[in-house]
Amino acid sequence: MKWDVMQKKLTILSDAAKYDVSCSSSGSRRENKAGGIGNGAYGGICHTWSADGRCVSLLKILMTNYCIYDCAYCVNRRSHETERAMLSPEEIAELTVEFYRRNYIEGLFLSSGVYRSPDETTELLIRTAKTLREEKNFNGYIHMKGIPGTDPRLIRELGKYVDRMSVNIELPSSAGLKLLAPQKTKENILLPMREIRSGIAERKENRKASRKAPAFVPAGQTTQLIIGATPDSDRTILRLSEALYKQVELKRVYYSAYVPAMTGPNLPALTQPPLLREHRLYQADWLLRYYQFSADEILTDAEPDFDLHLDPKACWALRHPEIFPVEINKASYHMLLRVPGIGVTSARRICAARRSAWLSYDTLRRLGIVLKRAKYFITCRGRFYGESDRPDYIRSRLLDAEQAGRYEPMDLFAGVNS
Amino acid sequence: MIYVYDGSFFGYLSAVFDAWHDGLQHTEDICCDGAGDLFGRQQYVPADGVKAKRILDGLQAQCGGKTCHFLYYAFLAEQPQREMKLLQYIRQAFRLKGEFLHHLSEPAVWEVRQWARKTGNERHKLLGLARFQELKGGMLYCPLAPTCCVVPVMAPHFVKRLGSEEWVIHDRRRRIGVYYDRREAVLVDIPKVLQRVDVSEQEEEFAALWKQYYRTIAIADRRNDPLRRQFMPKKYWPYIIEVRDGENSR
Repeated sequence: MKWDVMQKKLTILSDAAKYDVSCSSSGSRRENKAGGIGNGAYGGICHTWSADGRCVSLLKILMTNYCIYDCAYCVNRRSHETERAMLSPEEIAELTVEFYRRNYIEGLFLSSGVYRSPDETTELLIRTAKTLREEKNFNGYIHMKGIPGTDPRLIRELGKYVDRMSVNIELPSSAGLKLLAPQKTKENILLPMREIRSGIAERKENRKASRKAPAFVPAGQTTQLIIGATPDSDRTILRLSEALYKQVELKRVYYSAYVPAMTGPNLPALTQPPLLREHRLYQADWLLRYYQFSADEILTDAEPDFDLHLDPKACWALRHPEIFPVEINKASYHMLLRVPGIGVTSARRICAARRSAWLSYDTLRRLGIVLKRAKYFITCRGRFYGESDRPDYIRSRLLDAEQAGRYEPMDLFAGVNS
Repeated sequence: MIYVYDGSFFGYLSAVFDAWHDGLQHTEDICCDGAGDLFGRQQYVPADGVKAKRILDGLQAQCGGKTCHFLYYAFLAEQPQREMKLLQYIRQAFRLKGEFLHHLSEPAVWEVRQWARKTGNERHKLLGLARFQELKGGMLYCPLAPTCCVVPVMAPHFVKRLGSEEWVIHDRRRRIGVYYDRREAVLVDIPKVLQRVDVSEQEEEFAALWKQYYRTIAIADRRNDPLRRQFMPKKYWPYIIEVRDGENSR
């Protein structure tokens, strides 16, 4: 291997891939084979954290940053003058295995600019995946991009080798696409997405007949949305996510605060990426996936955007004073999940612990409930421990707590540009 | 009576077994080799797989496998006075049997669960943060200095993952390690700690590629050191090659 050339290529191609936020390695139980290397860890494993605090679990690079498209927000667009590079399937495979042996990474996340044509790009991705699986006997995690506009048959082929696939929507509305990514259309994004979905569904059917049915994208598919490059409201975005979860059965939707790396006539003039808005979207996304909320409950027509000062769950609770306080010893699991300060883990613990004892207020603290938030919404053995249950009072107390806490909103911006 | 054991988990369980046999009202303390005082009535209990297995099988049959899991992990957390607190935990478990695991509101049970969590969390974190170096001859070497004794419970993960490699995970604080020779993993003592390791030719090059990758992947506009430290505590940094040399700690 020519080390200095490799060093340079790696720098260019990882720099170009860093704005893609997804980097999870969960969802696959792929097993190692005799004489092979690697396996999937179902819960995912983070291997390091970069200086911006994001977890790194996969070697996230582009195969190439040559691109025939000209999307306004993208650093790799055709009209942008930047250094270009390309890695061969063999180079990528060797790098992945050597990094993996040293436990730097959990696997490979390969994305790419559109090189010559979507089909040609996908064929190269397939060759890379095949080299890793068949020649290197690599059984670790592989995540690859579905390139919009690819022939569905090629998507099927790629799916046989990888653990996860993602097709990025990037812009949450057709109008946004037309403005900023004129060569992409809603159809050529949704087509590969649907193909992956039906592939996964068929595999599930086949698995019923035989446990040995070949794998197809076992960790499911994901997508990414850019926040703040278009004027779409939070409600539009959240409803889109909900639809993606329900209709295309996505595993996850990632949100990426738009970092103004490029300038252009159609792009908004942002000085800083909307990190707090991104944070609220993730909180709401969790409410959709784990807390049994629907998008219409979280954001209403009257308030289509997030309250940046308070998290979406607390906002929902304050809008519904008629429900609270709930009795901790009686409330259903579903109801416990809706109490601010109680998460999935603590709700489960409450349900387990109250089978053997009538819970007291002190026990709650030990079970991991955040009482400084929860106390305004619960009673314990019939007693209310907050000072008042008036929504405006609770709101001001919650805001105080948030200011005093480690996660005060401005904290997210601390250190930016310093 | 003070029971003295060799510091291993099976040794501890053997001491518990003997203490139980003699009647727990006579048990003053169970302690690790060398920690006992000179004046008490002492009895040394050698580690005995049969006695340990009796206790573990009993716990598993009566209270479920999770009870054993928590016990082992809590032991590995090496908390002060773990011996008597864990004894209390075992007594409680045999008394309450099937419903034992629901008794979260009892402080003793809860504390043991917290210890087990500590070990489990550190194990999980180090499964990601452990870094192997390739030595001359191709063996992979990974030095660590974990707070809890997690190396024995980390090994099975790497046996599955790096099944066709020869490797060592070295706990430099406890001077123990797990050595895997492509067939089975064994716990070994490593009394002498080498200051320098002889790495293979391409090792430095791959490490340099990885460090370069690590530097470029960060988005400068979003730099957030407190957040990074929260996930990747400084105590691990000396063994993590991409941050070890401090070039990213500014």
